[in-house]
Amino acid sequence: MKKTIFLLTTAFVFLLNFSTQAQEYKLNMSEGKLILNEVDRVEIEGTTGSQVIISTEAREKKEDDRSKGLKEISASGLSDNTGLGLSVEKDGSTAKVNQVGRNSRHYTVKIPKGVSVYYEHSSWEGKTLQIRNLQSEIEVSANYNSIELENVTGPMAINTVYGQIDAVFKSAPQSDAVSLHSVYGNVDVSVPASTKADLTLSTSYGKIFTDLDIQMKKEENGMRAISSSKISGTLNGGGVSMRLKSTYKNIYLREN
Amino acid sequence: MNIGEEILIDYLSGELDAGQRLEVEKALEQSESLRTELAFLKALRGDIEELPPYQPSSQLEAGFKVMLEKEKQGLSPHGEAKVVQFKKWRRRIISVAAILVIGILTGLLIQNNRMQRNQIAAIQAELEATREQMNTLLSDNSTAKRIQAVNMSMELPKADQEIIDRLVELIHKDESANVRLTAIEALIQFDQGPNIQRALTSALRMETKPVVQIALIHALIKIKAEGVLPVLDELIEKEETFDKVKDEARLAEFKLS
Amino acid sequence: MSDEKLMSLVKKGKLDALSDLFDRYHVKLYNFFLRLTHDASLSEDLVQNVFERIIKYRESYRGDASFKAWMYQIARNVRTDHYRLNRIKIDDAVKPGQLNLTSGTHHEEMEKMERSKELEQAIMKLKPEYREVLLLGWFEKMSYAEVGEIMGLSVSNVKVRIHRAIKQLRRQYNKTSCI
Repeated sequence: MKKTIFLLTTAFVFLLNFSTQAQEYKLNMSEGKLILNEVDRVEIEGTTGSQVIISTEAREKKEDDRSKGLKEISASGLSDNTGLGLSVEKDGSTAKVNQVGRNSRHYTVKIPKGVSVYYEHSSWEGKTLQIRNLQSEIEVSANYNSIELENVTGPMAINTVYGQIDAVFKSAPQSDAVSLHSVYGNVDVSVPASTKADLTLSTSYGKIFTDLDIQMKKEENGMRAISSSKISGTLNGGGVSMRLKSTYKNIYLREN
Repeated sequence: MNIGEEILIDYLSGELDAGQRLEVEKALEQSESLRTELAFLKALRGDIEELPPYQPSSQLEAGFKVMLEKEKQGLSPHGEAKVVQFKKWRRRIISVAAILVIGILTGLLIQNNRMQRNQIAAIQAELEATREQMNTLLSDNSTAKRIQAVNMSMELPKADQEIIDRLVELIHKDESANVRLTAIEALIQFDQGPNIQRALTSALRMETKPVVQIALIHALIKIKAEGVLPVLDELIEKEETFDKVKDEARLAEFKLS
Repeated sequence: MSDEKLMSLVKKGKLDALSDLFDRYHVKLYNFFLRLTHDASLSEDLVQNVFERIIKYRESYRGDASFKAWMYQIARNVRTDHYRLNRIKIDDAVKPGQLNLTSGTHHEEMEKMERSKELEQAIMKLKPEYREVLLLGWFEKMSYAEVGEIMGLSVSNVKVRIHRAIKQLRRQYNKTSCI
């Protein structure tokens, strides 16, 4: 018993030693697609330059003597080739990042302008995905993650089953496609009052709230099945296409 | 006759004459191992006969109907030893469909006044333009561009068969869940008929993403596609189905039956 | 109405009768092509072409011959022409494991589905010349003579191929399933 306690203490001390040390992995990439697959905690940020930079704090790394000189591998056969608990494989213009095994690390991924991002997550371990100042295209398909978007100007297509989606556009979205879809979570979006957009807001069981002046589209003919829970309209005469959908919860569209 | 596997295969295939059959049956009575062998082959044949068929897409039937119409109208030159160009029939169908549409439109034009003619021409032109733009966007690698193409189709007051086919294809084949989601919404806005019900049902059978599965289930409820019930059963039975999807499937069964 | 009766109507110019034949056979033909080519969209094209040819060559149909055998003959020609046209060797075109569709109507229990999947894979692994004989003979339940007529083989040749097909199939299928 004493021995165990001693070992645990040593391990703990070891842990503390690593706690402040940030680790980094760089990948030369200025175009193409970066796929983040089943990485639990991620913050994505836009950057200039031509490198994808992944960093994490090694706080939780349980380094012990036994694992020295060994690499962690996961049940799916992935191996940690970054030293960060991630496996990175590059194939042509696509790079795929997988988390190796379970961990509770928080990763920051910096994305150059020309690189599009695809984030996919299926298990309940997916936590909030934060996306900031990104100019390139982003696509997300998740089951449990909530998604926070801030000052993202590129095209975006986001879906999640359980999570909620919060988006703050500091300037009006530029690209021609914003699509946010949650099944069981709220979709909450704020845009500048001057935003020009074509809007489609829909919910099957929730409500739609807004403080913006939406010009409702008239139904031109009887061909369309427009339900009462679906609103089509424009902001400031129309422009960027924005589709917000929450099947069971509410949609909030605010002026910021 | 040396009775072994080969003779038994012929026996099962019904390819032996009466004398040979008798000989086989006698041998079977005497040999346990031969009976086991026959039982195995019989089971194998049964399994082969009962292989569940794969279902072709609704395009096949639609294509056939257009082809038949065209033949009936004698539009196709006969006896000419033309080489059948594969992969192009869809385009041909579309052009035939276009001819039919134009034919119908022409018929209408004779009876109707100029204003209507202009309207029809305008719709036609809008369709053409949209279709062209859609095709360009759809061939793009960018998800956002493909979503944009689908959005564009939703702006149309009415879709033609080609646009509907494209949407069905996207729902079945596009790699992006977000594109599939948007296409589902667009599709049921234009058409809720039996072909669409079938197309969405087969999409549900193939779909693995929970978010899209749920969207498909909701769409199928909306268009009252009772034909989906067996697929819902399958989803509920399957162990790997996401729990919430099972809930949605149960709810759908309740609403549809 | 029998296939042959329907086809003789088609031959007389009553093209609507072809709709019934299409309903009867398009799924079968589709599966026949699919199992040979492993390509869903190509298989649909090929089915469409079979029916185009049936109309085009309807005059050449002999009223006394089996419609099914005649149709499969056309089907084989359509497929051979496709590969000739595209200068692909038939063997090259087959990439096992590529086919990943969920199969059609099955409300049977899981186990049976599993077995079907395994069998399907075992069939995919057969040499093309054996696979075709097996599909026509055992899946479509045609006689050796009919298969021979369709494929341009003697009855004894068909017999040998069926035997080999089943031998190969057993080797694959036996491993995974116990009956």
